[in-house]
Amino acid sequence: MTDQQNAPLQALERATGRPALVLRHVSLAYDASAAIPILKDINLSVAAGEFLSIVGPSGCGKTSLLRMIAGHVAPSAGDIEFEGRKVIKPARNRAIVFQDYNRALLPWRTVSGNVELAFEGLAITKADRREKAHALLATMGLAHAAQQYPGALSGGMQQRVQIARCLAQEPKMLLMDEPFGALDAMTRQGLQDEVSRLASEKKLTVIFITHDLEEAIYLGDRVASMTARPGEIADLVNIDLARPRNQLGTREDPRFLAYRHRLFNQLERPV
Amino acid sequence: MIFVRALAVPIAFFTLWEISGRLGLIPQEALSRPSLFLYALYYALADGSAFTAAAQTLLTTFSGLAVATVAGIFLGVLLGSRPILQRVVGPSLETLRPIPSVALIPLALLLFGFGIRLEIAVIAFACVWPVMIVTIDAVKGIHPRFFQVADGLELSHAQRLRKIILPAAIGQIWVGVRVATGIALIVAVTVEIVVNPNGLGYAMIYAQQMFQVDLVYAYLIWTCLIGWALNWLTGQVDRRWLAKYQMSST
Repeated sequence: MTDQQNAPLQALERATGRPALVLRHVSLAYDASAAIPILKDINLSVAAGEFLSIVGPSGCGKTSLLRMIAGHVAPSAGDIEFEGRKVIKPARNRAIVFQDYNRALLPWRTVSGNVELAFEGLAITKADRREKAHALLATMGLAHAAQQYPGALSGGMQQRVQIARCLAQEPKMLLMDEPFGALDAMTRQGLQDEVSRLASEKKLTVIFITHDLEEAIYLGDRVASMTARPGEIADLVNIDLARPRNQLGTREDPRFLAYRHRLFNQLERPV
Repeated sequence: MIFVRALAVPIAFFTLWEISGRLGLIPQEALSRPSLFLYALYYALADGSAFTAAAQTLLTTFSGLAVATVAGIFLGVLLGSRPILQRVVGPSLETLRPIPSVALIPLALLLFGFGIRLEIAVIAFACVWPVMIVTIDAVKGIHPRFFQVADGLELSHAQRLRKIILPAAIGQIWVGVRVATGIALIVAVTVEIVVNPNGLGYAMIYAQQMFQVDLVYAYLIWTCLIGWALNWLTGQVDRRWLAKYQMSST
């Protein structure tokens, strides 16, 4: 690759300050001979503490992108750097929140046991693990459910448990894969505000995958929109809306609507 | 009520048997009569010989089962989580599996001689397969999401085995162990009848050779009760301790 190719990326890195995550010319094809790769030449730089939403139609490879950032899948070309180190495998500093909370939680462990799992690789006593897990559950409004099994909880509560476990691993970055896709609208809005609050409190870098454009704008500092086949970043929009955001006020802000128009037109554009 | 209805058939059967026996309609030398063999069972229980025989049989049954369970889970996890290994080792194991376990008695006799080790070895051989096969399936069926969670938390191999693989698979593995428990008792009694002078099988064949027909029936009923109790026991383990592991873990 030439310097000329890297020029826009370098400009981006300057603009966003110290990048926590950098993707350079990342492509992904499960079959090397496939005519159309899943993801093609993704360049992205995410600043520490930034909340980046990625929105795109289903099948555009956004979940694959997240899996590569997590380290579950290796890119076919290009490289991914997190905090200056090449991503080669999953690590505790990047926690992933899966959409299917019912599979991501261990059904044979209580809510508390599921959160404690995140501490079990560490050299801390059982009592400390329990105490830390309960403190986390309390901040997620789950203290009363600590001894219940996930199967007995609603979808929204199970997703809270998964988020609590991800926070328990004390990550620098939270990777969220359509985390609220399976939840009803009311539960979803509550969790959106909660994730927003947690991200700014804990100064987390967040990458949030969704197919819900309004959710992407409502949560993000920036929104990347993707096209499908091959998956490419089509647009990258800075979201200049005050925080903390508000489910009514923010969504009625003229700028919110303008962002929505801009991204909507881009997403609807025929490929 | 269900219990009473279920008892109707055996009660009718044994009553008919008793009456036919007393009327001399059936030959007593081979068929005895329920009242006589219940009497024989009472004596075998009262002098402790039935309990001694049961203890000997159960000791070998559980020992063989324990060996088979440990080996079956070990092989099953290994083959289930390493597809390449299954392709390499699997066919060899598949050729061993159809060997009837009792056909190994002569070989086991050469290796271990008469005694408890021979019996345990033959039981273990018969029981390892159901445990191994369900373990392979159970491990293969674990949803990849569980392993992604384990990777994300950087769990070691030992932790993955203890915290993810075994709990996720134990519900299915236990089904294999239950099947193996039934097989273990069958094989134990068979080996005792054929070679090992021990336990329930030997008590039965000894009674037959002494022409104690009543005692043969007595031990048959006693073995049946023990088999039923074993099955009930494994069912209890299912209901009490394993219910939470059987929630959709795949």
